[in-house]
Amino acid sequence: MLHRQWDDEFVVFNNLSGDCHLLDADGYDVLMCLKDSPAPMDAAALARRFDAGDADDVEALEQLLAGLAGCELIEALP
Amino acid sequence: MSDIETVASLSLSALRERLAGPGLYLRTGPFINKIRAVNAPIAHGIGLMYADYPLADSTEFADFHLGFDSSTGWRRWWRPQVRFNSDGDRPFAPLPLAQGYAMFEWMLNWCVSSRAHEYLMIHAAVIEKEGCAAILPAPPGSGKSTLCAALVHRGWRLLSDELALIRLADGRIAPLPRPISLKNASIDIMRGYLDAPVFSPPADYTHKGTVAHLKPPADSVARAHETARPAWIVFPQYAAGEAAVMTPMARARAFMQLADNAFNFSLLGADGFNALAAVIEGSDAFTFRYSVIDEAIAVFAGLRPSSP
Repeated sequence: MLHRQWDDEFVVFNNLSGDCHLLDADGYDVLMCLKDSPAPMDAAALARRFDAGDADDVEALEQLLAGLAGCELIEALP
Repeated sequence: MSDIETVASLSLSALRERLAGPGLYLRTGPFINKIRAVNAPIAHGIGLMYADYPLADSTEFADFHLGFDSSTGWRRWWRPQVRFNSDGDRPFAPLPLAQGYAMFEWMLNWCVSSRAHEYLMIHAAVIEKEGCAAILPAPPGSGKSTLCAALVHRGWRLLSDELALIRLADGRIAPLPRPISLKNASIDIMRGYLDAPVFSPPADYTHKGTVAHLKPPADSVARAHETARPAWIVFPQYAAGEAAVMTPMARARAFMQLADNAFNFSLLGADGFNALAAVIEGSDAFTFRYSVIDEAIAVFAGLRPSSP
């Protein structure tokens, strides 16, 4: 995976799909966190990692994960 | 006086003989095209539009082989058609003979965009001034070609009307100046705007409407070997009644739109990504809305490169 940052936006290139994606800082941080994590993480685990533990934060992270999965940047495990 | 043989050095009958016989080796930018065609509209169009273009020797390697002939069968007598073949394949359906020259231009574009993968290729017009290039990517209907046609007759050099060829090796843009494709109302607009423009005969009822090609400035053709560095990315949009306004655009958004307009971005993988990122980092990006051509030209005249 390749990326560039300009201002507060990130362009991420998925070598496997050949597609490019535009991410904001939150999306990029979550993607990098998952990339560097030795084990799979769900929204609740990510919320703990980012010290964002209320229900709205978890819901926002779930939506973000769904978006990243829709772009095939991450894979949802059963 | 140059001793380079050009299309203009051939009489029309000699041009027809070469096209119908051994083939015409035509240089367009960095490419050599071997063209064989028996169809009169194609020979006429090449003679008119490519008069200033250099010919290559028939012993040289041709990048693209383009063949045009006539459909066979009884229908050819009342509905003559032109067929295209490339290296023995016929990848497209025939078109009416009256659209033969337009077909020739489209097939030249197809050859480049489907095969020249030593470049990152973006569907865009490209113009140059003082070594700096402005890339104008845009979907059909944006007024890209109309704007390009005007600018290259008002101080800018034409690098291409259709294809930005970004060299993977060094990020510079290789010129591919060819006739400018104009459609529908744009044809008459440019007939009125330019001094003595040379157009190909209009082809009516194509899938794009009426299409005519504008002969490029001779200076742009003569300087087809002079590369340029990308300095601006401008996304034009004709907007009736609006004043010409150029608005800075976020680099990441410009990247995404350029990638969407690239023919081979995914195919090139990391090389394409890095090449496009280098273009973005060395350029300023803008959206541009305009309606009056002279206003647009004045705004472009104010562009200054922001980094060396």
